Amino acid sequence: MREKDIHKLIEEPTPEKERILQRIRSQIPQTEETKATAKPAVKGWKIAAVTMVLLCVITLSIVLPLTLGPKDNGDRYCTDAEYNDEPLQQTLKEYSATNKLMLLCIDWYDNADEILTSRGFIKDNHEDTVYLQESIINSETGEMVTLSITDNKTRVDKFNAFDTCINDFTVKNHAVKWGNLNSDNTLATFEHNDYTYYLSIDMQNGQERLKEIIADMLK
Amino acid sequence: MKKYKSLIIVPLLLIFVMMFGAWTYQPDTEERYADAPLLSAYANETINYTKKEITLNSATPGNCPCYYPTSDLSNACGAVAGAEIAAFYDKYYPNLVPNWTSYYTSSGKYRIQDATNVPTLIRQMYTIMRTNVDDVGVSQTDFLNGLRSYVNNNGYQINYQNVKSGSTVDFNQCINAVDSNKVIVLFIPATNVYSVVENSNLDIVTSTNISGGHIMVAYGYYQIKYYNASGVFRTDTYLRVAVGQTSLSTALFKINSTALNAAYIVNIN
Repeated sequence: MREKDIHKLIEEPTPEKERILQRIRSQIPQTEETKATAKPAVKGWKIAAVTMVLLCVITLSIVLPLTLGPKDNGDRYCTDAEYNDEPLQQTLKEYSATNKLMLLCIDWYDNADEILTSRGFIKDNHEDTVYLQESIINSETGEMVTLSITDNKTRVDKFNAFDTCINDFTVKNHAVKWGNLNSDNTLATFEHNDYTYYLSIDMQNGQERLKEIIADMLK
Repeated sequence: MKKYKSLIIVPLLLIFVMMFGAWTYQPDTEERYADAPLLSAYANETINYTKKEITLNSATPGNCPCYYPTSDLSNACGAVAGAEIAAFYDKYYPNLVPNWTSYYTSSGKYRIQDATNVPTLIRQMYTIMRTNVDDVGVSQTDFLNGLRSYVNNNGYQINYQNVKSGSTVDFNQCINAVDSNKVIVLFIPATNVYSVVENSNLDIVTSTNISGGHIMVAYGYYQIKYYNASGVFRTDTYLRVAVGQTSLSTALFKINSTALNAAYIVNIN
């Protein structure tokens, strides 16, 4: 038989086929037909609305803290890995005058065995000064004092020990914190104008001597 | 099939030889000592006490030169320590560092790092210790051999006396060394060093983490006993060390609780 004849034979209803179908239907148990309650399709606009609300919440939670949160006031903390030290060819007094910085100095320049002045700078930006430092050895007393200076917005890991000095005294209305370091140095720190000053002297319990030195600096 | 056998067997043999070679190859496993950033702890330890006793406290006369790497040299902790040792002994063996005096003759204190002489000495050590040649920094062998060559080249002899005991130093030998005007070279893995700031009735101990293998020079010893109502509740024993870093020139190396790879008294004659 040709394919078309077979197709016709299958598709076209005949009385014989109707009788067979009826007999089959009568043998199938009758069940209650449960009506399928089709859920109404979620309206697209509701999905869009929920998504937009969620996006807004997420965006605001990211943006608000950035715009309304604490402003960056320029404070920085510099660690050993970030800076290098280089010697300066000028004394601190000369460097301060050249750069119009109005820094306090230890004026032992006429009585010094040695004066070594250096500058800490950010490795990636040579112009960015982290600290200035000057070590002076007094030729009369043999004392070695190291004076280091940072601006008030810069803290350096090199001076962390000064943060743990809790003894204090006052010199010319300047509050000075001091402490002994490792029983062989005395540390002192104070602020003046826009700078923080760190002094160390190579003796234990040298706070009285540091008091004199700071008084001279503040003259 | 026979002609393909050799194409299979030969590569398999090659792979076997390579794997065997890789298995038996022993690379240089000496620890390297290089630039190790210092990480300061934000949390300091406060020790409150009713009484404190410093039971041991001494250092070599004039302490020790305290140098730091110049910005043109990388992984230079070995060179810096070597320069400190040479400058230390220059006081007792003239011309160990030629054409320069490492200390102030009036006070006996060691000179601060200048812009010329100390960097020159550090660079000499850097080269003679083969810094960064085989790998980053120096190995212990590089350091000891390099310092030996430097000392021999300047007319003196050197020997190293091992003072590592178990996992730490033989403290009594270190005391004897310091009392005999000798320094001790310490080879340390990543570890902490300390600073003690003394205030009224409390000490604040700040730790600084040296984040990798490092070489330091010990030149003193320091022991503190802390008391409360019950008696001694804590004893801290340290070696005073020249750390050799820009951010920390000296510190305290706590024995018995600080990791150590090797320690040698440096004897020069």
